[in-house]
Amino acid sequence: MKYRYKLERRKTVPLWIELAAVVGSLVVSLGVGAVLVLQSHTDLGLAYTALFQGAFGSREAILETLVQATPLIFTGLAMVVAYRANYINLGAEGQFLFGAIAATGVSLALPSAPRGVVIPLQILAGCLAGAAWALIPAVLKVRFGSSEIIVTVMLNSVADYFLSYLVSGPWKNPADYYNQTAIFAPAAHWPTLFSSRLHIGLVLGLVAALLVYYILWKTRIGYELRAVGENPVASRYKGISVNLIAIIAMSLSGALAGLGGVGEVCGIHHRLRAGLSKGYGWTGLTIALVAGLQPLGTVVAAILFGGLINGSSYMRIVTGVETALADAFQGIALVVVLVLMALVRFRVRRIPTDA
Amino acid sequence: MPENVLDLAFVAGLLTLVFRLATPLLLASVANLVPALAGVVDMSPEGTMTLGAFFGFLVVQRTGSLWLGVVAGGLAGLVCSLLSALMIVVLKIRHSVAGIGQNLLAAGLTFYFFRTIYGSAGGEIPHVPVFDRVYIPGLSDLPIVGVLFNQHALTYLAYAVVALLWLVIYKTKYGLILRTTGEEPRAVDTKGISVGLVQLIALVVAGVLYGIAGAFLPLVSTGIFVTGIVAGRGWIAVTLVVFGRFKPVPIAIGALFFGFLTALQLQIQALGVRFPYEILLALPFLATVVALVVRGRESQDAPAHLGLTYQRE
Repeated sequence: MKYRYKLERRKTVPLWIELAAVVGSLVVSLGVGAVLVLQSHTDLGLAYTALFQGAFGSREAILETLVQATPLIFTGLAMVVAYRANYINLGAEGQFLFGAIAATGVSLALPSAPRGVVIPLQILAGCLAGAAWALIPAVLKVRFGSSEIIVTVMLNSVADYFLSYLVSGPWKNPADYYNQTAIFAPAAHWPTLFSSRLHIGLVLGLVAALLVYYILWKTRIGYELRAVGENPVASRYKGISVNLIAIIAMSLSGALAGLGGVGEVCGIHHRLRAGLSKGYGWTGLTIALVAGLQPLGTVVAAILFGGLINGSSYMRIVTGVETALADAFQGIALVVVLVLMALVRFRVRRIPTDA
Repeated sequence: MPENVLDLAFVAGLLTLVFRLATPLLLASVANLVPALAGVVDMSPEGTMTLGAFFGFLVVQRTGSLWLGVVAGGLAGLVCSLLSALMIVVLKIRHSVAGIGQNLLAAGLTFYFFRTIYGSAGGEIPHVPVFDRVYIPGLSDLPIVGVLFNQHALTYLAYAVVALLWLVIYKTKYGLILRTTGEEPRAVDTKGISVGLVQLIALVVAGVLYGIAGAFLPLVSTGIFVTGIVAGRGWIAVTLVVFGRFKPVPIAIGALFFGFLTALQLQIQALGVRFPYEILLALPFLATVVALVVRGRESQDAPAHLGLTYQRE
């Protein structure tokens, strides 16, 4: 019997294959990362051991990894919510900054408010500011059909310049050489956990992940949101308001990213300063896609990438490999996961040929 | 405002600057039109330009040859475009997502190479030689239009690329195939021409030009590479294609307009006008959003099959 082989598209991809693709993409990315490490003439074993030890090798390392993971949980979740509605929110970076700006505004305006008042207000203001900044691209998309991808990227730069205007102008602490605000009053600092830099933002992140899971899979709005993401045309026929869903998804996404920004200023820096976000919005996209757009998986992926960022500092101390490896790794992981997820959509079938 | 704003020298200086600053945008945006006409939304220019800028800088720093640097930028763009083609043409990944992945990859790799080669300790980053201006005899002496002819060699190259692409797109058989691929891929397919191959070639042409546009940035005027050197120009280039409604001449005019905005900002800063400079810096990005909203109704003028995946039935 002779066979011929045919490449065909699967109708659905089984979950275990998707999981294998995710794990596979991390392995492939580590492999590509290894090429980069070797290219800088460093012992690979030493470098990767240091990376792992720096990330998860001790209690302190794990706590610091969680510190790094906290903003990523929020930006990752922001991506998940928007992406599930077929909306690519590349603006998490700007929404993050606006959340931070709003929380700073509250903290500076209420220097003598008690903790129980100022912290809820910081959170509220940050969520609203993030959502409001996310509403601009959402409305432009719905009303004028403008690409949300381009608008969000452009607005990131605008937010960045707005922040540097604030910290070098009206909000600048005159006593400081650097462009930054004064330190917030102690009541405005978020409580820390395990007497480390880790703060309640992590708890909020975990709650947010559960909440996003609940909204997406247990509520009517979540069902409609996912339906729009999978098939906007069919959803419209079902009577779902696609535009309203886009607005809701983007507001929620922006609020999540904004809350991430609140956590960074109130939990870590206790002041607003230039260069606050280290590309958390972009990392959030990688995390969301590596997590297969699952909210709880996003937490796991955020901890992995937080570990990568944290571990890369120790790796640099031990081996001299640049921490920029973590940035390169994020790009590699994103492309590899896209490629593998696309590949598993195909399968090879053996077809008998009688001749 | 100082009264010298309307000074003739100010205007001439401004216009000269406009064409210089518009050059990378001109190259990248007209390049981005090519895959768009073949139905591919190519969102990779920002990252590709970054990699092109870095390799252009690196090669000039190592060899001292400016033109080798331009070639290196083009080659970096070529490699990027092959990855784009793998994702978009072969694996049929959604165009925008593939482009974003490409951007993050190129930016991350550039950052890593830059830090590994030039160090992160804030050490001295070398300056490289830069292109001199080439004054075209006779023409550069003309009033006003003279500013077109006192530019850098790469600006003349950009003029030539725009003219050449216009010719190919509208006056040749290849241009017709390209445009039909974006409008009616089935027609191309039934003629026995591979839709994927047309899109691959379109992506490669664009990638090489993005790389050269990127190499322009460190090799004209500053002679230095910094991360973030592209500063959104790649995204503006993508917008200009929509803004110019998928036609090369309006796209080129749009690129000049953005060159003008940037030049104005630099000149105002140089005059020392008291004005928060962050607002000026944010101006091109705000203008991009406005441009997209005003002229960006997606349905109009865009190739009918833009962004869609062609499937044989």
